[in-house]
Amino acid sequence: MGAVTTTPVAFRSGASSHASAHELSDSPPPLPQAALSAADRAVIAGAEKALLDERRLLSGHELTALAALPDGAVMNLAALAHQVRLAWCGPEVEVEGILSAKTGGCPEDCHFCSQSSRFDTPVKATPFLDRDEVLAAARETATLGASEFCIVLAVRGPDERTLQRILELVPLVREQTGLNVAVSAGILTDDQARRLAKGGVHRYNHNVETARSFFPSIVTTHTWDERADTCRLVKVHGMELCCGALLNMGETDDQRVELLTQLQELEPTEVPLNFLNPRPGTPLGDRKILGAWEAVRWIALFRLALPSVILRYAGGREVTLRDLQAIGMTAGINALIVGNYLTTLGRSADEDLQMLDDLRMPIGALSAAI
Amino acid sequence: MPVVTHCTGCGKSLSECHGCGRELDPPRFCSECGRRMTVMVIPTGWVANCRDHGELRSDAV
Repeated sequence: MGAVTTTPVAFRSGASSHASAHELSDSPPPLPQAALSAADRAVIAGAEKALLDERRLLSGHELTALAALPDGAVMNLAALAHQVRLAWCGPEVEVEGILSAKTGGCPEDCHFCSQSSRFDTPVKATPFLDRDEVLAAARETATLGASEFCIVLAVRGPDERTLQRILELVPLVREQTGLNVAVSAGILTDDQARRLAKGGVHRYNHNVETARSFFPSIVTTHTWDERADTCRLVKVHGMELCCGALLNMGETDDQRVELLTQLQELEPTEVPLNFLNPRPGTPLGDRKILGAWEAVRWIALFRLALPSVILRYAGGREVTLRDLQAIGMTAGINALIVGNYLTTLGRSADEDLQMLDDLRMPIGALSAAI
Repeated sequence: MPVVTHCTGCGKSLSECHGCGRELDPPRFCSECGRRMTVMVIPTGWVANCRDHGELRSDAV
């Protein structure tokens, strides 16, 4: 029998309705066709044993070895991540709506953010929405099947007036919609964290965004340690911690692993995983969008590093993953933001709910895994 | 019927920009005058407001 030959087919990056061709990552090579080496298979088997049999966290060295696996191993990583999600968290998916209750005019210089007053972006500042506007958005979120509603404010931290508004809104939203209320309002003092916890805030969001070593390249107006301090205060005062990441700002793979070990130390209940959606006028506005296959790899790695967290699809997933969004749901994701984001739009809630129905994943409210 | 003369992504006239607004961005600039609008994005839609030409809503709001 003669040898089988194949004719190489030019890889087509193509344009999509969500991103113009020039924004997509440079065309990567086709996926390797060869089976994984014995050494690569051993790395995956070691992670499986650690996470599913020994029920322990992976070390930085183990995560580095997994991150270095070739592209042909991504589906193996995804399959393992899905098993880890099921074993540590169960099959439910948590659905959340978020609201930019105070938009733009932020004094900080986070290089990815269109809401910073330091950059010339199309986002015009608006004041804190009034009570009826917030409640209407919460009611709409509840009709989408969500269990969580996050009130987000573009501030360095809440002043007293803002804190009072938050404390007024949280019980109202809870009483009128039944939703768990999360808040994202920047850096907190100890007293502010105490008051928010006492005021019924279910979960407080404060992303560290990236590795501590890369953070100064992204933000100069405050430090990674200031963010980590707020994260610790959230937990001290009994709120669940939501602390996430934003990938593809120029960090290296080693820095992504560094971030994973730092998130392990912070022990969040929820980790929202954002993918950079380059915003016009920001310093990162000209970056290429992350390749979809690489995004799947890192979704899996986040799950393998953080087996018990609520790992949430957050900003940038539509423009980054496009038709591979369902693969992410079987690569470790067990939560998503439904509908729109803070300043950009998401796909329709119907599409997401249909995806979950097709995947036969039940929707439920998740909490800190025991 | 509003006369569309400006790009909603950057505010430039359509003779300078044929439309750079992205599908998953709400309109940020008024299509009639190019002025930057205040935009409220909520989970189910958006509301944009031009100081001179009034309010524009997504279908779902």
